[in-house]
Amino acid sequence: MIEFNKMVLLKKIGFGLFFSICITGNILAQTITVKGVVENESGMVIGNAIVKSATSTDTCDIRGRFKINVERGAILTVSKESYMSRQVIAQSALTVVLRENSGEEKVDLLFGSQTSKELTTSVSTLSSKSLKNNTVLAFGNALYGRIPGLNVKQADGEPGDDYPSLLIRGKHTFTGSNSPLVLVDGFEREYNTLSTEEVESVSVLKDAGATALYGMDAANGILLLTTKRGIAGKSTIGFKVETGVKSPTRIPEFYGSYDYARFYNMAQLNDGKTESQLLYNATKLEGYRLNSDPMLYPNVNWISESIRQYAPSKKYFLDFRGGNDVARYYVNVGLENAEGIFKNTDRGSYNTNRNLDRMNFRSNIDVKVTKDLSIRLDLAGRLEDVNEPTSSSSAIFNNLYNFHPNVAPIFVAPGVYGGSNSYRNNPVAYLNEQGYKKTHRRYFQSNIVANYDLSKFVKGLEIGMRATFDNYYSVTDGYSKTFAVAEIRDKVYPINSLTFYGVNGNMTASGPTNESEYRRNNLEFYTSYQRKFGKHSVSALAMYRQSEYITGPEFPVRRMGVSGKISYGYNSKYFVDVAANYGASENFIKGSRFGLFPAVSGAWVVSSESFMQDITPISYLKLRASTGLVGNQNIGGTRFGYRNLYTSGGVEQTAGNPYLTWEKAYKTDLGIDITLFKNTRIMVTYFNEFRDDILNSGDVLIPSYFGNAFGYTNYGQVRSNGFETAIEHNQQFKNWGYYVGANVTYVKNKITRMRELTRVDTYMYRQGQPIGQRYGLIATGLFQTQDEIDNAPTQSWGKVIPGSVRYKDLNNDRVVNSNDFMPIGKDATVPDYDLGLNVGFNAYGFYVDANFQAAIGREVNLRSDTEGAQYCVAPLYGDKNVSTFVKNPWTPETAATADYPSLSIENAANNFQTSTYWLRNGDFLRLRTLEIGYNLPKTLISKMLLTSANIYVRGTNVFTLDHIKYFDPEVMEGYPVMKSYNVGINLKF
Amino acid sequence: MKKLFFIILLAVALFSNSCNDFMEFPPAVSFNIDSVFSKYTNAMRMVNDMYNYPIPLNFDTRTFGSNGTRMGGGSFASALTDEGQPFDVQQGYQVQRYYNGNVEPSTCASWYSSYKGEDDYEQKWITIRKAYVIIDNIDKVPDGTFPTNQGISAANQKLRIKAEAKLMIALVYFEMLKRYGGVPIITKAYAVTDSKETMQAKRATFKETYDFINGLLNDVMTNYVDILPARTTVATEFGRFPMAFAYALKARMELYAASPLFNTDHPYSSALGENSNLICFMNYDKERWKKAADAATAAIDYCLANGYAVVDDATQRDNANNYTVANINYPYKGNTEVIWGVAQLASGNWAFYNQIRSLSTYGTYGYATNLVPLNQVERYELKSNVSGQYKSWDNIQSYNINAIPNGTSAIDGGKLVAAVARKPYEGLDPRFYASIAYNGLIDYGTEPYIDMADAWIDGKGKPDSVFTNLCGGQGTRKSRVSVLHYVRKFNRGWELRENSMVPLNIYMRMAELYLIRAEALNEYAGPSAQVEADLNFIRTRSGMPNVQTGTNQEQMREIIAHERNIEFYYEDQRWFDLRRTLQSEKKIPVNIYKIAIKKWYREPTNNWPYKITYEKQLYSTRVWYNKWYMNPFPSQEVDKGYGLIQNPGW
Repeated sequence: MIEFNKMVLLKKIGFGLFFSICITGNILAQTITVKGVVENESGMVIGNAIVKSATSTDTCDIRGRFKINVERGAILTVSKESYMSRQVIAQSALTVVLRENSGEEKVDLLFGSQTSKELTTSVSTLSSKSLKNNTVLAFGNALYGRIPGLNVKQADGEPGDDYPSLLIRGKHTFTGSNSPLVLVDGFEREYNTLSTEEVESVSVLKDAGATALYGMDAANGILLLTTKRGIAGKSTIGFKVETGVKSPTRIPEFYGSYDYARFYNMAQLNDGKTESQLLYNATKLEGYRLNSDPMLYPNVNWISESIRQYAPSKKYFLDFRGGNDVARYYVNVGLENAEGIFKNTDRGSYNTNRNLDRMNFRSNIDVKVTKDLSIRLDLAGRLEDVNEPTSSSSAIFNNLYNFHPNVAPIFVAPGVYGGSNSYRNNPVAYLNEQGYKKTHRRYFQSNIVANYDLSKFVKGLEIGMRATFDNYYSVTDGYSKTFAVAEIRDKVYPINSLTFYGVNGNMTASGPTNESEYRRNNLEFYTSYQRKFGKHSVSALAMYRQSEYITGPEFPVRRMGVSGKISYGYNSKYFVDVAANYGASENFIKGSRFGLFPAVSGAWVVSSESFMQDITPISYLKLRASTGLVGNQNIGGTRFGYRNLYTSGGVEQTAGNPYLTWEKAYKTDLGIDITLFKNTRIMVTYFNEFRDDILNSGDVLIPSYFGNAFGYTNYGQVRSNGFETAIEHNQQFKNWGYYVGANVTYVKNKITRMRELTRVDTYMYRQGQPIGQRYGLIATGLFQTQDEIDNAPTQSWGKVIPGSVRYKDLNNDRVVNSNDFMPIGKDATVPDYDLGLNVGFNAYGFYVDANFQAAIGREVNLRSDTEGAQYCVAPLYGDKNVSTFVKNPWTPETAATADYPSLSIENAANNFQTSTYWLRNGDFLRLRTLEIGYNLPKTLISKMLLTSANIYVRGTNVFTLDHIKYFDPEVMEGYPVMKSYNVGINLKF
Repeated sequence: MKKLFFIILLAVALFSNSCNDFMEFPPAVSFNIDSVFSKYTNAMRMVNDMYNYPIPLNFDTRTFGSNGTRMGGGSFASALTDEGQPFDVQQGYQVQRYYNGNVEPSTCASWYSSYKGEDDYEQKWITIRKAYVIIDNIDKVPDGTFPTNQGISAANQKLRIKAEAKLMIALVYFEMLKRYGGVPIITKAYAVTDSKETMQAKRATFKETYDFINGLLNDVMTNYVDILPARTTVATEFGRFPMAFAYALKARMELYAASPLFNTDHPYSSALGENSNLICFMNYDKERWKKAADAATAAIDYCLANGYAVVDDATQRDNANNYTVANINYPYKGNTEVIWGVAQLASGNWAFYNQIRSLSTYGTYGYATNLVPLNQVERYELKSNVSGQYKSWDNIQSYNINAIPNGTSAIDGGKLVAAVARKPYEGLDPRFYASIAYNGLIDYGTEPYIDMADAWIDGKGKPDSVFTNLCGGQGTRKSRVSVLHYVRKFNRGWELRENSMVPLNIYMRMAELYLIRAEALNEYAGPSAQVEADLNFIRTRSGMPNVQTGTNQEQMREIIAHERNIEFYYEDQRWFDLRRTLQSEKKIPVNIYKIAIKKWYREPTNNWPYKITYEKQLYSTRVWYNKWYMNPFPSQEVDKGYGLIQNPGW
């Protein structure tokens, strides 16, 4: 039986392949037989479409195929209900792409899909078409500015570790996690491991109605990725090859030895040293200036010695897609390589450069075993090998940014690294002579789905189950060694002897280290019902789900619950959905684990009303609203915070709080979707969320006669709201066309309730401020004279000298201290306005696509550990290097024009407090991708058995407009953010 | 197909059966309350933990420099009065805030701040909670796990632990009563499941709190006779409460209750209005003094009947050894006087940092954190046949050194100089030498003498460093501290042997009972033979003459207060004595004096100084605010909004 089925399957697949090749032949002189396929925009075939010419008519079969005899050059009209009709010129082989009418686009949801007309909730989608012009190593990097409401935050550019972080509609809680739930094919999974080619659609589910099925995991919204599946009746083979280079967007620059020494002397003078006490006397300065003797007066640009301008990368991708009535398949395999930007790293038998090698594959199979039973089996995985230097990239870059140009030459003798007793980390050696490590990562994802159609008993009824098994393993093998540096004795030249520091050690192997693994198992049972009775359409879904996430020896993270949803539609005008989840998390005490999360949503398709039929500019108009409750069980604090433990010494530990519960998100959405003139779509949504029961430190709530530290209680509240809007316009003429899409998201949030310590002054309270509000001093400029310092309030952070930053004494107590920190600046993570702009133009096969992202209403603190570039903006103090950010530091002479505080070696802590002095406008506009390509004409490629072929040049992070200039506006430290340029070929057979 | 359908159904059934276990955390491997009370040894760990830092003590267990002692890093509460002074290097000490008058409820005592005020309010409740948890759960411990070798039944051992826990609650409440007045009365360990609504206890009145403590003490004294041992002499049991402590604590509490701060209808501040009963009785009752005297008598009688006695070896009076034994010895080493104390430090090191000069290489001024202003030195009487005679320190005094013969060894020469250096301190109350280290003291056996003097040259003033090694290099000059006296009371005879001695925190010793009775009787009925007898008993064992007879009540009050100051020097009494007697406003804001000591050399220099001069100098002044009569509750606590009324003025 099994054998037989396999045979049938193979035959059918074979037939599909054969057929797709055949349809390209057979050209007649006058009357031609047009064989074609009708597809939708995402490449799915459309069955039962009607193809009409002036003389004849044919109806497509369910695989979208048609065959019609017409005169060459005749006009064919292809039409189908809920699609816009299209006219094409007859050719022997045709693929007709129909576009859905407004409201008829399929939207992938948590369970199944709906047309956008039926949709009552806030969901934004991105189709595979919009993903394809990306060259990214982590999937998330394809999403900047693409989906309203989805905020993607750039990570550093380290190949393989450049996963961005996501927020949906900003931040909502100050203790719990703000991360959205990410689902791939309906289950929680890592999504950055997917390649852009294998993803069919990306949906962002934002309101309570769209996410209610996930109950207490849903409050931060859901990002849902759906992978491609086979299409019956149409087999394609896709092949893609791409190669390119990556380059830092911006990398800080540092002064050479002469300027460094001058600044050093300047700082020493500021510190009260006399001319004779300066570290760099006139001879040395002159030596540096003339660059006369690289041994005695080294002047090394460590960055250019260690960092190359371009790092190559390449990618191959092959996929197969097709099927028939019995079986369908989508299979892909991809290979990727990306090198790091370190220089001169080849050590013969090994290389210390970062290097990422990756292979990913997917096999999504659908089999209809009987008329009623269908099975899905999906296997996907990714293998990764990462080669990298022994020290972390951030350590390497920090060392690079920190190492002065005049410490030592790179080599003091052939093969002998320069350095000194205090400066042993010669950056070139630090990168190359400490060995390397190799990390191996394996991801495996699998889905098994069985669906049984019970229509023979009850029409429209189905039952089924879904099970998934995911696995991840990572391990590092290390090979490390030590190195020596040498100093030219007494700095006397010629060299007659060297003093060595450290040892040139032998390579020692370590590992396996950093082993980590996890497993994720999910199990679902469901039953669904869908039917139309005249004007009434009804669908219902009930499901049971349980999941576990097992990592190491810890108790697994477990979730279980039942969900249900009932949808009702009347006359394709009025839609109502009611959805609810009753689910549990293992993180709460027995008896208080389950919560009910209901949501209700509705939509009114106004344009379907008779009174709208005469208003032709408005081809589609829908109003929608939703409200509901969802939860966030990822509340922060300690896991199992309900438990009450003692130490073995009999000391009671922080009291467990058995009342701990999940955060509750009460969400309301109001939206309007409009299509004007059939080709301009506008979406506007207002959203409002009230997040309750956010964890608050219990010690500030519970009377101390409780007698023990209390941990946390659910107390905090945050309100957030804003709007999203998206406009799309496209126009396609016979030989040319264009599209413009723009989206804007505006969010703000406010902590409306938070119990906090008694603050000395009202401006210090967090309540009433946005989440993560930065607190700092108000800088009022630089002190100009000692007199001014003497008369000013005392500043509490070490020495204050003329040219030091002067701060405002907010509470007028004549002391500037931690009580003078007030809210300053805007959030660096979530801007007020997140914008995306996507434009494209095509003509005669040539096309240009560009995606811009902009953040408006954002500020960064250049001196902050998390936001700033502190290695670059804080020179000398703490033995730091001097970057070109420092242009014109304060001295008595430059007082009028100074743009930087007076330099100091000894103690500049005063200047580097968090303050408005270092606050900068963080707004930026980035061209995230730009693609210029050419689609080879069908007539040409059909001879090569191709259905499509395209070549392109693509840039990523091509340029950035911002106010920061010296460093990347998003990530200022560590491995730089990269831009890339690629050329590629994309072939479809 | 039916088969598959069946399989699915079966799977559903299987999984739904396991739902309950699926979410349940596996049986705890960690300690919870059940494992603590599953056997005696575990339960005793919690009992021991209850004794761990129950109240502010001079030497506490916590690390020096972080939370340190309750003064925020080293100084004892004595430094709040003119009997003590922290070394001036560390301006960050909490006690310095008192000198600036800059004490705020927001910076006093909290879990969130590394600065502790005079008290650690929250720690009190932690201890009380521990005590209640023990009372509630000790019966769960299986009898079979109790030790049987001493022939005490498991039931009685449990009762003893309960009695200790009750006494602990009484002690902690008394320590709060004397600082804050009335406080919320908590009668159980709140379960974590108690909702917030039940945790709304208001401040009890002063009388309610006093009654509550009395109830606990009476409970222990009547219901645990022969169960709670009268006295602990076993080394391993030192630190656990004996029954005598219940009597002694009652005497001390009655004394406080009778004192003017509380025994009044006119509190020191009227700011609380109708809530003034939170901080005092709101009536004056002379009988409270009688009660205090009776409680002291009862305690003395109980102690005497059970092997306690004031240490008084007639041969050791003049060298104050009785006094030293009473202050630093364990009961099993002959200290019959200690009623309750603990030895909390694991090593003596911290004691040396806290108390006496630093003996290691820390700078020339040492790290001694508890110093002695001249004010206190001046209060030691001369040892003569008549009491009340004092030495005058007001004018500069000069002591000549006889020429030291050529060829004298450094040690011998140093000793000759030291003998002169000691002269100003000759003839004082023996307790002075037992309590305070001074210039020229040879503190331990044959070690070098302590040299706190600066070297000066005739006509040239103070040289830089020429004389570092003069005087044979024998003086431990690095021990110089800013006011030039320091405390040696708690390690007299043990100096330089840093690690071998763990200093005691003696909370109460028997001598106090006599002085309580003397004070209470004098306040109740004026001076009497009994008052004088009690005072003289304490003075005699340290070689001091009897007090003057024929004094009036007020004069006697001064004598008693003075005697308490000397006898309980640096024992954490003066700050509270001055408050309860409403004397703080007169005796806290005073000038603090130091002594300046100079060794004079002739030019050209030779190895030996020719004279030493002493000069009284103003060192600093102190301030007092009447709101300081009561401690503030931490403002964080008041802000929790359950109705805790803050003390006046804070």
